[in-house]
Amino acid sequence: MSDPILKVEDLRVYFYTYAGVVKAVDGVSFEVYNKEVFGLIGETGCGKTVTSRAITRLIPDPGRIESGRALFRINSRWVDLLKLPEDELRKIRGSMITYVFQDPTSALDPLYTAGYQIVETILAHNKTHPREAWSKAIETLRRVLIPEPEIRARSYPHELSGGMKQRVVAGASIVNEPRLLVADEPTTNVDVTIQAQMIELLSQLKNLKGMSIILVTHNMGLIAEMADRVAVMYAGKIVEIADVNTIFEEPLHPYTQGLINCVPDPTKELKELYPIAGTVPDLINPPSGCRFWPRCSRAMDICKREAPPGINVSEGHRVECWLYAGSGL
Amino acid sequence: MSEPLLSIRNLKKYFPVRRFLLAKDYVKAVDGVSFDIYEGEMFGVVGESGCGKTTLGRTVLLLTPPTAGEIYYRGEDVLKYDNKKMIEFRRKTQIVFQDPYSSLDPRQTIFDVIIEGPRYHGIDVGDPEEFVISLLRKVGLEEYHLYRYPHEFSGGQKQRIAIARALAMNPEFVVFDEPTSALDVSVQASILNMIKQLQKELGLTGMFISHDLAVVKFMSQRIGVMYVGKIVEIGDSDELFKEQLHPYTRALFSSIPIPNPQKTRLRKKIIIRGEPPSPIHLPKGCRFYPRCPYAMPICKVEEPDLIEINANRHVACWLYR
Ligand SMILES: Nc1ncnc2c1ncn2[C@@H]1O[C@H](COP(=O)(O)OP(=O)(O)OP(=O)(O)O)[C@@H](O)[C@H]1O
Ligand SMILES: Nc1ncnc2c1ncn2[C@@H]1O[C@H](COP(=O)(O)OP(=O)(O)OP(=O)(O)O)[C@@H](O)[C@H]1O
Ligand code: SF4
Ligand SMILES: [Mg+2]
Ligand SMILES: [Mg+2]
Repeated sequence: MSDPILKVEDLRVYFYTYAGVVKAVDGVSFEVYNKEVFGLIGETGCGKTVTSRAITRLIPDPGRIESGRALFRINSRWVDLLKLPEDELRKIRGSMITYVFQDPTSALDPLYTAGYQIVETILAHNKTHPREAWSKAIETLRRVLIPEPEIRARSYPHELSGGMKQRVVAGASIVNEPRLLVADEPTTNVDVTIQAQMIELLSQLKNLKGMSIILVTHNMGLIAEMADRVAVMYAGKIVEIADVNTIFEEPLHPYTQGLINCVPDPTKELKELYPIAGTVPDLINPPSGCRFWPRCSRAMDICKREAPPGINVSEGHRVECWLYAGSGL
Repeated sequence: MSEPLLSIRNLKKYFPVRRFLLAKDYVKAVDGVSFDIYEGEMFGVVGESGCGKTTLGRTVLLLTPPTAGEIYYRGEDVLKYDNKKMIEFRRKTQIVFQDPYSSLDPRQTIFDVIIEGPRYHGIDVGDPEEFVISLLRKVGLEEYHLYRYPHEFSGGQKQRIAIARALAMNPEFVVFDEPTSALDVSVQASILNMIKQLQKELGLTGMFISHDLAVVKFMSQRIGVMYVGKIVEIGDSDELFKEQLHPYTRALFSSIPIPNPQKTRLRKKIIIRGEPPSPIHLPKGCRFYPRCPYAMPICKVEEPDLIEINANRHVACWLYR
């Protein structure tokens, strides 16, 4: 494995709502390596989007980043994105770190052509002649597999299909050759055949440009297909991190095991599925101790009292669960 | 296998859309679909967004009148039913929708939600409270839920309520339209187990609609694959997963990510280019030909019919003529 380009340490993001403080992300640490796809998986509301947005402080009110560091490597220097002045951070966002969100429609301005929106992204971060930027925009549209890019560059968003819009957004996000691309549910609500095109595209971009990708999704199939390493989130915490094969074949955390077991595998003949008992906890009053204990079949006394520490069970495999206390490296 | 409970022949449902002032176009949401569903089986319908699955489910149950085609229930022409028979058909056939949030009236208690149908149809249920409680138990809810309101339930629980409401009518045939698409996988698993269990226990016949191939495979004995308004292939669920005949089915099945890193990466994928055509402006000939890697000259001019390959497989593709 190569060097990390991003080190997130003890990140906490709380939302101060009328009903109480939502501890959406509560002490999350992970690293993203050069040229890897880092998968962030978990069920609705577990904090994937908030985590991935907090890296560049894209947290809306009433949210606040409570603590933590997000160290990003620029050349050989580490900068803490959570402390950087806003104008410097803005230079990084959109050039070195870019985002693709789930809904391509809201990411595009209906008043401007697809080509113009990419040109705008180029000009915001580079001193380029507009004409040169235009040809670069067309080149980018070609790269994201838009047919007849010269014509399509002059189309407005409403003239493009959903899949096409998604590719324009992908184009805008890579045109400045970012080091880190955050793709948040890039294929949710997208058809399987279009999803296959997106997967192919993202893999090509990764190889071509040598960038890293944080892939945020609740789709286990997509993670199996694309991720190199995987972090499993539950109720605002990362409960397990390991390489993708370990996560699927030898998961240690009871939640990860449950998650793997309840997803139907179409290549198997299944008589029944194995749901996880209980429901996701309320993040205003999360359970004491391990947040998973009320649903965990192997919970012990200590689980109810104390939050488990992160235990490095082997190189690159970390799990937050009392079952493995003492079996660390 | 037994007699078909439900048969449809060349079923069509077009929605008019106005263009400019006078000219009228049609969304051909369901465009000539035929199949049989046998007593006691779950027939899966899979296809991508907008291909017409929901419209098909609703048209089959006559919740919306078909534009053309025939529907037979136990061999009788449903479109010729008199009033009395029609009311009986409405009771015997039920639908469970995708969205558990909008399908329940927020002002009704769970008791009211479930008892409404049987009351309307004058079904003798004995003691209504006991009747509803027994249904709640069947779908994994409790007696103390009886007088609560929908907003007090999670998405998964709401879907259980919607299923209980359908079962209250003692139906023979139930359409499940993506009943778990809005739910998390851990919740989905228990709902799917439950539907499967109930189907066996009550001898239900049904149609299970989903865009998720793994879910459809888990739930159904036979599967119909839909592409822009048409069923392009029908086959036994396990066999269809082993071998697909139609080029679209093949591409679809080869590109679903499998939750197993080794298997999913080693698989040979067929990635088809482009996107499905608009159901308003369909290509002449086979509707898949613009994206089909095997297209031949005839595919551009003439539409292939769904033909029988063997008792367990039907396919609409010129490659098999
Ligand atoms: N603006 C907000 N105000 C209050 N709470 C919020 C806000 N945004 C997010 N949250 C809370 O933070 C938690 C994490 O949300 P987040 O969007 O990160 O989840 P997610 O894992 O991305 O889920 P999904 O799979 O549904 O996208 C949730 O419990 C959510 O209710
Ligand atoms: N009432 C309506 N009026 C006009 N067009 C409609 C109507 N209902 C559906 N359509 C159109 O018919 C086509 C099929 O829609 P339908 O909802 O049946 O698809 P679906 O396969 O269920 O899609 P999804 O997977 O998104 O639920 C779509 O193009 C849709 O826009
Ligand atoms: S009929 Fe022709 S165009 Fe259609 S799927 Fe078959 S080979 Fe392809
Ligand atoms: Mg999210
Ligand atoms: Mg639908």
